[in-house]
Amino acid sequence: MKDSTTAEIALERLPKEQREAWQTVLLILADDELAAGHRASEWLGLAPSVEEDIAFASIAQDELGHARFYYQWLARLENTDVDAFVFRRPSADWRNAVFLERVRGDFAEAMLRVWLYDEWDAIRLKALASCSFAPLAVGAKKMLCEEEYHLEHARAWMKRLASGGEARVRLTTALAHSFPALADLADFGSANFVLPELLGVDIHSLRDEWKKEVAERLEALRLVCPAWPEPQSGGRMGRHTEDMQELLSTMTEVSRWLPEVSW
Amino acid sequence: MDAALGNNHSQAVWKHLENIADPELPAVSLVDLGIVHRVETEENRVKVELLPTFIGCPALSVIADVVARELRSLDGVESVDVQFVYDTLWTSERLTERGKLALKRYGIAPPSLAQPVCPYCDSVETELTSRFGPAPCRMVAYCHHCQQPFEVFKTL
Repeated sequence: MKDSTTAEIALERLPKEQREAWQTVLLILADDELAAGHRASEWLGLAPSVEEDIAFASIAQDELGHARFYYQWLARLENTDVDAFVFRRPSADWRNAVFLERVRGDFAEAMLRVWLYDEWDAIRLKALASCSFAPLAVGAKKMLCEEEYHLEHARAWMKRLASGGEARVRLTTALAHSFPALADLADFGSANFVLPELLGVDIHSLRDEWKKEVAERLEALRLVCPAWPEPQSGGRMGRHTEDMQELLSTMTEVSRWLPEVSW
Repeated sequence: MDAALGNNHSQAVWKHLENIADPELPAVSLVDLGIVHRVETEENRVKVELLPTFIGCPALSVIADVVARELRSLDGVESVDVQFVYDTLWTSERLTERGKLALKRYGIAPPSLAQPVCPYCDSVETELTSRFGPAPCRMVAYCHHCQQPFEVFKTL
């Protein structure tokens, strides 16, 4: 299966610096979606109801599909294949946020992760949807429509978990545990400085928009918004935790056994 | 000798595509699903551009393979190039009326922003039970009138 090649020319014709900036952005988007998708897929069979099994599996499938969309552009620019990105990179070459690589917590923490990430993803996708690189803009618009279902789902669950009892206690614990790990989520690493050029918006306003959205929604649920950590580029510069090793080791297990296998 | 497939033969290709179904929705043709974006023919070469319904739909590569195989079987066609493109957005509004009817007959409520209508008994005493379903494009609802669960095509 191939995608349109009309845009390939446009991307490849960009001046080297601009092309590399796009590669940085695309890799961050791709790796985020892949890490989020992989962790979501782990809930299949473990979620509290069959509907949630299906929801997590469906969310995982969407995110992995989005990751493939981004990797296809990268593969073309770097003259390699999508599998090289997914199965043959050491942890230090991955650019996903540390928050998304973390091992599975309880259901409240997993749902909180989906919610926090998808609120941020929607904000950056909106910026991407109006970028000058047409196929990426159309893809972003499409992903926004798809992500709407994830967001509605996660927001509904946040409300349900916050309603009281053990669920609210667990959600509060998850908030305290999750916020310190958010330092590198709303970040584009070395591409932060060129974001206005690529997306017409700077990282600070994107980050503020996300924080405002999250804080307001937590307040509406009468939950205390924990302190935001100082922004850092951590995972965006390839600095990951041991959890990333675990993720990669599980994900690449079959391909390491059978390197010649066709997917 | 087979007649060459000229520039004005793209209609023959469109007609053939009307008989090819989405592997996950055997009741609906690719044309009625609205995913055929453009067909170009030049001599004995055919180029088909498709729009993905969902970016992560696992059926995409299967659809591309089926289209290529089916079109190669047409008289006068020697090479087929099938691509998924992002020139324009696929939305559920691209489903034809015939496509919506076929979905309903297959037991899937067509996309709608209003209350889903039960495809079995046409009741609106329905409830959305999950925003996710057996495929990325579908959700699950329940009909309180005929007490049947059913699928709803997502509005995109």
